[in-house]
Amino acid sequence: MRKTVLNVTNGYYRYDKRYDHYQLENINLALYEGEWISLIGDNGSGKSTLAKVLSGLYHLDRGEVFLNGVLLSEDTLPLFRKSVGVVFQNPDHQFIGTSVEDDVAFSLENQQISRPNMKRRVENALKDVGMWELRTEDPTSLSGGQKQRVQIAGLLAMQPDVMIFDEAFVMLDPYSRRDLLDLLRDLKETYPLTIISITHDPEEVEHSNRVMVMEEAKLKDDGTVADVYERNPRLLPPPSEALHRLLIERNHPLKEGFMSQADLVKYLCT
Amino acid sequence: MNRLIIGRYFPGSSLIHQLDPRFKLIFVLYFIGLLFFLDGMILQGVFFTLTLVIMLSTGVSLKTYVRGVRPLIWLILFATVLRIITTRGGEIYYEAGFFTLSEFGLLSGAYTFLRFVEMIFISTVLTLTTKPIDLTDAIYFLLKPLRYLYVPVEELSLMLSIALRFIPNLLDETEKVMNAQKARGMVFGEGNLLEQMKALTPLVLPLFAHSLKRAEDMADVLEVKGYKSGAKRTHYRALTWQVKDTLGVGLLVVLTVVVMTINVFG
Repeated sequence: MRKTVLNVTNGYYRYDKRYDHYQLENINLALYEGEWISLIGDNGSGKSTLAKVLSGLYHLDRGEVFLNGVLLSEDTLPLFRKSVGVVFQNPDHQFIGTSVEDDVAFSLENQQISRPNMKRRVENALKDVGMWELRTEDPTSLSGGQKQRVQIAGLLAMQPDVMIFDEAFVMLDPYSRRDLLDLLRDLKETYPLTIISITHDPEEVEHSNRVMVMEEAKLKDDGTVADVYERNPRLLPPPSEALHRLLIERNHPLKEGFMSQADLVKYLCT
Repeated sequence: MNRLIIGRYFPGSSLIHQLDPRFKLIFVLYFIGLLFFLDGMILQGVFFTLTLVIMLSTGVSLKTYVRGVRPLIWLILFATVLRIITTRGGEIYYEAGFFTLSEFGLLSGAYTFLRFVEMIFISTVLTLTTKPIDLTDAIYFLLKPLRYLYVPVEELSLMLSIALRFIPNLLDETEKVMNAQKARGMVFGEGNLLEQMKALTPLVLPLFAHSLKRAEDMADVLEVKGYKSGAKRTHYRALTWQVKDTLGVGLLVVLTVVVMTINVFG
């Protein structure tokens, strides 16, 4: 049986408590260990708000959030902080330390980890993301991709159960973005991580094994990449599916339904 | 904006870079204090030479230090002129009501100018050769006893660290916004005072909005990284006091003795 890491029941949230306009309405979801979830939807649909609820930054007006079966409350918030890490969009707004290693160590200092343990964790995390050689550099002098690697190292050092990426790759060039997605895939194979990625990038969605679609504060759809794109033809598909649809339009004898990159390559090469 | 060097650290391996930040901080504060007790040409000469030696030994070019003084030059000149015209003594060269131009006034003005320049130079040595994080660690260490008086030392040191961290970013941001506004035809630094102030509005507003956004993001980051005001934290870095730091304290003692001796017997 799959282990539930995070779940939300009957979640409602609004920024302005004076009005009945909710940014999240009737959210019910369960995220399982080892999943890579893409959270997609239009701007203002509630994706980032949901991410902030899941990370304990916002507290639901109604409903409950559980982490490994523990209810989120003021008392259990430190547990959330240790177990759920977030990387935000702009890396330059996230650096606290003046060197790479200091920045990675910041969350460990807050967790009161002993210095020898902290040194070990920082070293391992920086080696995992390929940034150990640059540990003494000023993080602001790094490239966009390297900056986000440092942020990922900061999360890894915390040894979290869940990593949330709030449009974390949107400011990167396509090569750096692909590099980081490959890095995340490798990390996921090494550690039992659950990844939630808020994205508009269909290519990034293809890396995930589950997609959630937000629309007007509600969770509109939830399923595998194939199921979600088949049920929602309006969504901009990943490049392989876009090519698949184009080939069908040109009367190529391809089967209907979603085709992943692997499916399409297999079909075209046989 | 790149001309401003406040909060910027120049990496290096000089002796000054290697000294313990606590010692460097104490040295700079004590040195600045001693500057106010310098009486006469000899002491002024000794301290100015020492400042130059310290600056040169950092491996950072003199031009960089001069750049640090430039933004404050009007303030220094104002203090110098004020000192000259309000000090009387020795031969009087010119007199008009309250204002005098005297021998002592000129000498005193020259000392004031030197004192300011030395203060800026020596403080710049501290910031150019000490990582901001080391500096805040040093401030935290030196202020630690104030915790018993309920002074939020940990918070102050983090605030200082983040502020120092963002000064260069803010300056770079200012330059970007200025360039963007110039590309739209905005002219800075021309016209009378009122026009110049008006021209700053399209610069200040985006900067202000950007700083607020940055502060909001930073608050989220601090929270998700588990920072809690007043909570106990461990520290990744350990400051290490070395023999050279103790020798540096010895230098301070020698300087104090020299100043006292020359002031009393000179």
